[in-house]
Amino acid sequence: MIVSRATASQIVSGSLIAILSLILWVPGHADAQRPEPKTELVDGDLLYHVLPPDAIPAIHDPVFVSAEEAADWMFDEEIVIGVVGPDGEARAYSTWHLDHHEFVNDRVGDVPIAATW
Amino acid sequence: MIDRETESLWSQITGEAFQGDLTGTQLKVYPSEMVTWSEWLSAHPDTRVLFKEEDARKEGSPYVGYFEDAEKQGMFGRQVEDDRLQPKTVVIAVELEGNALVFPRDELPATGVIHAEVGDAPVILVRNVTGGAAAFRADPAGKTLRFRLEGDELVTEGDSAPGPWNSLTGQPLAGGTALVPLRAQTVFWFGWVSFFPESKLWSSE
Repeated sequence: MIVSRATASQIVSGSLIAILSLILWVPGHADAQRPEPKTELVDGDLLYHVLPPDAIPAIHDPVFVSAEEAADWMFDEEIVIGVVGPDGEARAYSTWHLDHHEFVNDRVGDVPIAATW
Repeated sequence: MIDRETESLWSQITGEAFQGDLTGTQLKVYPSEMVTWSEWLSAHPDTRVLFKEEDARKEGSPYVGYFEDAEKQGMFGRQVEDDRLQPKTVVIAVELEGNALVFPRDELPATGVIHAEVGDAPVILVRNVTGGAAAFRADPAGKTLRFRLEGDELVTEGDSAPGPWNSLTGQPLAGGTALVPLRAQTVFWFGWVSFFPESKLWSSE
């Protein structure tokens, strides 16, 4: 089992829900020189600690805008994670944006969710 | 993944905590799909989108090179050799109770419903009008149903047939039982099969 990095996610007890849409992630500067990551064995699998928690800042208070307001900085070919809430409201998280954050701690209707990339 | 409350560690692929107080706890799935902004916007013109701070507005992703290079496979190389598909094949992986069925994305129909089984459970994979995919159990009230797609609604055949449902969320649109959503993750084959080496492969033939 590999965990490529650890970031913060806020999990509300009693209702553990996550959006799990991802493609296995590798840093863009994978070739750069860096110290060997700390490793440990978990159930016989090697776990790599690549970054400390919060090295990549998660979003905890997400703000959403209309498509019109986003027209200058959303691009046609940009991959998004799309969800629809219980009231039919559609919501998109850009994966280009999540490259900077990797987690959005959010709420859809009454449901606390973590959108992760 | 790590949570602030218990600092347990979680796998993004399995959604399960494997270290810390919550070890063994499984996250529930909230249905989602991965598509381009233009695909999402044309299907959901009233969508809201997460606000981007100023320094995150540049066009493109730093990982474009990773997506395009078949030789780059994870940070530490491939962990499991399984040559049923090319390692960087993009697949939609559906998992239920430890069993997994993998759909190569390029082999899927443009839109429509695929009936299949994961383990012994009847399931459907829905290729939505956006181009995204969602998966559900096909037996919402204990009886296996045959579904088809009408726009963004899932319907069943017959006069008193149950439905319709929203084809992304599985929520009933005219009362009745919600469809049970399954994890349907867009992933690279090599990454998925490292976690689920017993995965079955779906074929259109």
